[in-house]
Amino acid sequence: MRDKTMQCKHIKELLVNYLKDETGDPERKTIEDHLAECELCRLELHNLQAVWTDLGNISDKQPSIHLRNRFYSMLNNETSIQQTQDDGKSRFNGLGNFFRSVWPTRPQWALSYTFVFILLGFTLGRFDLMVETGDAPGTGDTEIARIQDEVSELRDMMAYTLLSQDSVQARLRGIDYARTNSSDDPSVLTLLLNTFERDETGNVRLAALDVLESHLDNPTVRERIYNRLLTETSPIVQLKIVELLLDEAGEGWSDQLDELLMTGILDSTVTAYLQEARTGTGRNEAQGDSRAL
Amino acid sequence: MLQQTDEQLMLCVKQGQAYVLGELFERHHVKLYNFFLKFCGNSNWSEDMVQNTFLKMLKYAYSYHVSGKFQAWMFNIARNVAVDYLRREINGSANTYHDLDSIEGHIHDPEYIQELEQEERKIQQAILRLPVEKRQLLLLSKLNQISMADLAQMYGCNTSTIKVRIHRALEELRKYCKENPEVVRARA
Repeated sequence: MRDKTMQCKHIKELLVNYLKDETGDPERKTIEDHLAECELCRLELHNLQAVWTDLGNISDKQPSIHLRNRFYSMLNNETSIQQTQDDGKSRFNGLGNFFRSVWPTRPQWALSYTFVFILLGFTLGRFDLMVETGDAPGTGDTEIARIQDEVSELRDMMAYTLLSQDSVQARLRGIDYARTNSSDDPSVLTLLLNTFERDETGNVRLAALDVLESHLDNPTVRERIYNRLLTETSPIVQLKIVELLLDEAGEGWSDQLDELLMTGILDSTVTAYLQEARTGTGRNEAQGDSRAL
Repeated sequence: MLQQTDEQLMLCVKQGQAYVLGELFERHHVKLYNFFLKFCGNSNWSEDMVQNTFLKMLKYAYSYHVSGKFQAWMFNIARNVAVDYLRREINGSANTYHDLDSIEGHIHDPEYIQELEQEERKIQQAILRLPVEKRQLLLLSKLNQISMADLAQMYGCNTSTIKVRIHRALEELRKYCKENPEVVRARA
């Protein structure tokens, strides 16, 4: 008797799952076997089921048109505020806001920024002194070239710092900084490749790929872009890689792309695009679709 | 064009593309409205609560976790919006669910209630008699098909506790209906 009471108590605890149809097969069988033998539990289920069914029978209503208007008014207002804040950060006169947005929480990076500003101040001071003392022609050009190198180094440091930030916006700015120097500095190119391969955000990987596009004549870059395709999960990035390999890298990649089609690892839309491209039809239409993704 | 999932859209909002919230609004605002309407019985309040929910989703987008289900996150915000709103509207000094429940009479929208069919009206009125937390649990689990696991996470307890709470809420609803037979006639 006591066992039966305990069993009834256990079954009652499972009835809610049963009503929600969230029971696994073994659990459902246990419940149904018990219900077949226990009139009290059958009655309990019947009563609960009636109320449960009635709960779902209240018809849905449509909100008024005002709700949609209010929502979009709110959304426009909020996005305007956000846009104003973003514009403020990008202006030179908003430099304070800009550095606050990328200021790292880890103390060790504060030293990097301090060094950058000291170097910048020293460089500008030397340049100013050179102008005042009227150095002879030739020495000014050398000095300008040296300053340009130092500015380039500063851009490198900014790129490295920004690409290690948690903020997606900061990492995108880092890619902008790296864009200018990627042609001259192999370490910046490596930084971009690492970002493309490892960043967790699809938009950042896509931005890095945009910069790497101008380096497709580099066999290492082509190889690493192709290898990334094998593990890339974002359909938009997959599509961009496939487009680049088809357009820029030429026939040399045909066999590898055909192999990819057979493995089935690409997203279905990307697969359809690649198949069409390989047969030479409907490529423009697919490119239009890819922008909408 | 691939249709993005709710989770993908919310990640876009989290990354700063606030305008994407419009797509989520189009997909979910009717569902949210009806959750609030059945919860409080007032159509104007329900529209306010929908607005407040989306505003909070925008402001707290940074807290959305990529591994979480969007609907569970959205309804977690919605249930807190509902309670906060009721506190302000009904009794500004109420601090707990129980304070709200102790208020005599429920301020519902007569027009909404009158528009319901007779059987619908009866069960809706019975729901409005339940304590606030039990009302929310039943509406979330039945009408919005939030799973036990997600409900347990929302309420900060395990699935066994949630099952017991839902069971008790159903029992209370059933008991109220039995003691007030003129309110609901259970279907055979």
